[in-house]
Amino acid sequence: MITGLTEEQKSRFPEFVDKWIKIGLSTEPADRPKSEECIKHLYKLAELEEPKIVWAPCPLSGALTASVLFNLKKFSTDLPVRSAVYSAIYSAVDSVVYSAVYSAVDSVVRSAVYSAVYSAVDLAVYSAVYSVVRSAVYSAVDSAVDLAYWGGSLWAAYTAWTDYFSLVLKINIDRTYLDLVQSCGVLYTFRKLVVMTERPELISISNNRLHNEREAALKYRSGWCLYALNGVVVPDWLVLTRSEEINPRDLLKLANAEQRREFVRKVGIDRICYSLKAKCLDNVGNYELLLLDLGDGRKRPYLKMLNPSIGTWHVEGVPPGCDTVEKALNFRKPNAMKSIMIDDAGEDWYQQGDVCIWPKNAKSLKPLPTILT
Amino acid sequence: MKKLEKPVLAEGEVTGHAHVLEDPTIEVFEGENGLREFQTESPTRVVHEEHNPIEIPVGNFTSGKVLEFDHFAEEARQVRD
Repeated sequence: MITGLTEEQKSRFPEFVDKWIKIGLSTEPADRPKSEECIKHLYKLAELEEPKIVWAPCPLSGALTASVLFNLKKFSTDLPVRSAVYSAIYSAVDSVVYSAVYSAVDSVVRSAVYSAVYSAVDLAVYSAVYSVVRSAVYSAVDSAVDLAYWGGSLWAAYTAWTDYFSLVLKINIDRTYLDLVQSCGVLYTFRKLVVMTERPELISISNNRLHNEREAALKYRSGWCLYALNGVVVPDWLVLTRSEEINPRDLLKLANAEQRREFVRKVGIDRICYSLKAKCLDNVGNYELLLLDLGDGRKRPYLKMLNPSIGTWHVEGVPPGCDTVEKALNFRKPNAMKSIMIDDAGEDWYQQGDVCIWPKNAKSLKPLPTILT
Repeated sequence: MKKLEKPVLAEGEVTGHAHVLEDPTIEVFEGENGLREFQTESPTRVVHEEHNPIEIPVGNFTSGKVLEFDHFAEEARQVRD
């Protein structure tokens, strides 16, 4: 049993972090022969029939291809291949590694690659693919394709961890899954079918977030791409239009709060307030209740507020007639919370961004969150 | 109430970022009204990629998303992020 790591073994953490971030962010074309060889081996490991392999140029076309084929053939997603691969790896590690060692490698190697690749890229790809798939296909197909999703190179975090155990601690692990992650992009695995996809042609990262102020931040050779600012996928015009050419009024057309945040960051809160003839009705701390000119003869209240964690401004609508910050904040509470009495001696509650958390059976709550981040 | 696969209180649609209970053993249930409920047996943190963590004490909790008013659709709705 391995119960601890030597200093020399610990000193090799950065090597595996760097290696797998590079693999996770690779923009090389897929190594198709290698990928196919690996996936066939993994199906064999799981005692499954060799699958038919179909290639698609990007995760979106892969998901749509998988949707169509699933709908035609009803390929099963009840697939033991993932669990077979994981159990082969984990049982090999668990049998010889003490949990403290496991945690030490996990917290340094896996988490660093996770932040740089999975959080930065895979989550955006997954969300973008499924927003299209959900609207394009039946929900049964959507959930089947969801189950079939494997991140390929974008799931490099767990392979970084596995690679360390394999090469540094000399644990005998079947390395086929590591080879697969090194050779292709996202894949969709069904019984008898695998839809494999290419890696991106361009990945633009800043501070571990998808970000490009001039062009798409993530681009595939198929032409499918995502525009992103500071990790938020945004409409292309918000990236491609120069700040001074953007009409500040377009802020109010964006339905998504994170996209509005990036709009405010790009255009500037002062220019938006000036252009929308903002009139301050009330202010408390980092909150300012503004009356904005919608451009159609109406003036309506919006709450301007600061994200205290990252220092960015948000502007969100509140109902007509709201004329104080207190009323605006009360309106913003989830409906179930509004029925609970407000009392200075009430129970504590918490708010993280747009999520409120309160004691389930509270009879009364404090007027403001005890912790706000 | 539907038990969720992961202890997630809310997911973002354009970032994939999520408000997540750091203790993976906590079970989160979602009601038809979209509210999520969970129980903590020791203090646990809620983490998110773009907000500082918050620590939740021991107890039974409900979580829900804040509202905003869309002046063009003239309706209140949950904030989408």
